[in-house]
Amino acid sequence: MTSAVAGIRRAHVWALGLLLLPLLVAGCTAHTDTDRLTFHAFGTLIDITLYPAGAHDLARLESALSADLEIMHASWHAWQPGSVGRTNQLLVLGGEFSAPPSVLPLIERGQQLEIATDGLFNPALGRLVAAWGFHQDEPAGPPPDPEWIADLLADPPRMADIERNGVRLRGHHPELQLDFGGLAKGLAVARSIDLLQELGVEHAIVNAGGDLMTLGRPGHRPWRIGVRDPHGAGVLASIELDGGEALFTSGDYERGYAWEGERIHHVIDPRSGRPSQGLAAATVLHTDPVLADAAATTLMIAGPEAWPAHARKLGVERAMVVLPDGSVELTPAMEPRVVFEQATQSSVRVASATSGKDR
Amino acid sequence: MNLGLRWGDVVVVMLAATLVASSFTLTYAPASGALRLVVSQAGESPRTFPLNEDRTVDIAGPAGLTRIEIHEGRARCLRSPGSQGICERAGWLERHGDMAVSLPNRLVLQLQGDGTPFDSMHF
Repeated sequence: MTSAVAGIRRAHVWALGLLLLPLLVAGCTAHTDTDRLTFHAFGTLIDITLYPAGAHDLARLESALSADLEIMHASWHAWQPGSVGRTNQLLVLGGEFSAPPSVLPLIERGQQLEIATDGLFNPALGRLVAAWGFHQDEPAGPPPDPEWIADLLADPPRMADIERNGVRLRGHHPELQLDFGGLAKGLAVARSIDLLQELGVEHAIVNAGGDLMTLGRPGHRPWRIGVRDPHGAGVLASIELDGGEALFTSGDYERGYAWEGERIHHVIDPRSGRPSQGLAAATVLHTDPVLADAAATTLMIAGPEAWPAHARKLGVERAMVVLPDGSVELTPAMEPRVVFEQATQSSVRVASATSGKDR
Repeated sequence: MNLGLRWGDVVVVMLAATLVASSFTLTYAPASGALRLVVSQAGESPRTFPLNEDRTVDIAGPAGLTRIEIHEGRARCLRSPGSQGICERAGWLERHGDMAVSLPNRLVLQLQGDGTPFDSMHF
């Protein structure tokens, strides 16, 4: 025994320890250290990731989050009776009225974003979205008559047509109809993060139908997010997120229908009055989930030439778009954050130039 | 030839070689090893199905039945309620992380392998 111990010197023990360390680390990361909570609310699937595993009262969290999200959903719904519906009825009458408190923050952000996007983001065009068949659970044609679109866009309703005086509102356009589809989810995710914090949660992800925001970090590692390939079941890329980061995507594959061989999707360009063209998806990473949500829609509408300039104007440093041929363009700050999990042609875009590479 | 090695050195060198080889295997082996299908449904605990046994599974949801086919180590959404066919269009799920969603039935189908799991999926 003594001779065996003498054969293995102290240096050997250290060497073995160092060699074993990576294996131990690999072993630790292979199992999941989080709990998942999946439920239906806000008209979509809500997926909550909680760290560490086993530390939370899942039933209590689900019931609190679900109740809160359902109130927001009913209140902000674009075509069912609720606060936004009531506000729409009163806006077209042209008289002054007291706004429902839940609608005021949406109107305020909507007005700011309309200015910041040069009108590309226009939640006052609900009538146009409805005419394209998207104000129903199963979107369907026929598309609106081109002459009707031309008439509406000759003098289109804008967020600026809503006069705000404290909590009092007055509408100045007979066709104005609010549809907050492009920012309500961002606000709902932000409120859910706030609610989780109030309930004592420190490390979580709130994922609402694929759009998500993080709270804190899972221990000493970052959150690891898989970005699904819009055209299949696979994982296009992975992104590591820090605490307080939101990831929102707007895509032509989300809601839509086929009409005479053409795919009609739900992102409507206020300039043409038709579904946006030239980009399949736009993804924005930002600390403000409302801005991330609205900016993703704006970049989709801005199209393949103008999206980097609009991202810069909105203060969005990290954005990525997928072109119809499946190739990907990223802003310089987004590029180091994205690891492609499948062969993808990608290039870095700045507002005035392009530098490409294949991966 | 005497390299001045003691028997302990040989043991450590052999252990080190084994560790390096197994590290490479563990790190670079395809994550598809030991794949399983995890079915998450709103309000239910996730259910796990192995992929090494061919079968069809019917999952009842608020909008009707979603039929899942497991065949030759992969899985797909064979039929599901919903007019847009989004669940079916995802096709075969073959690799770690692959996913199909049926919103009408409030279902997420996802393959999990031995790779590091994603904390959340963005789409």
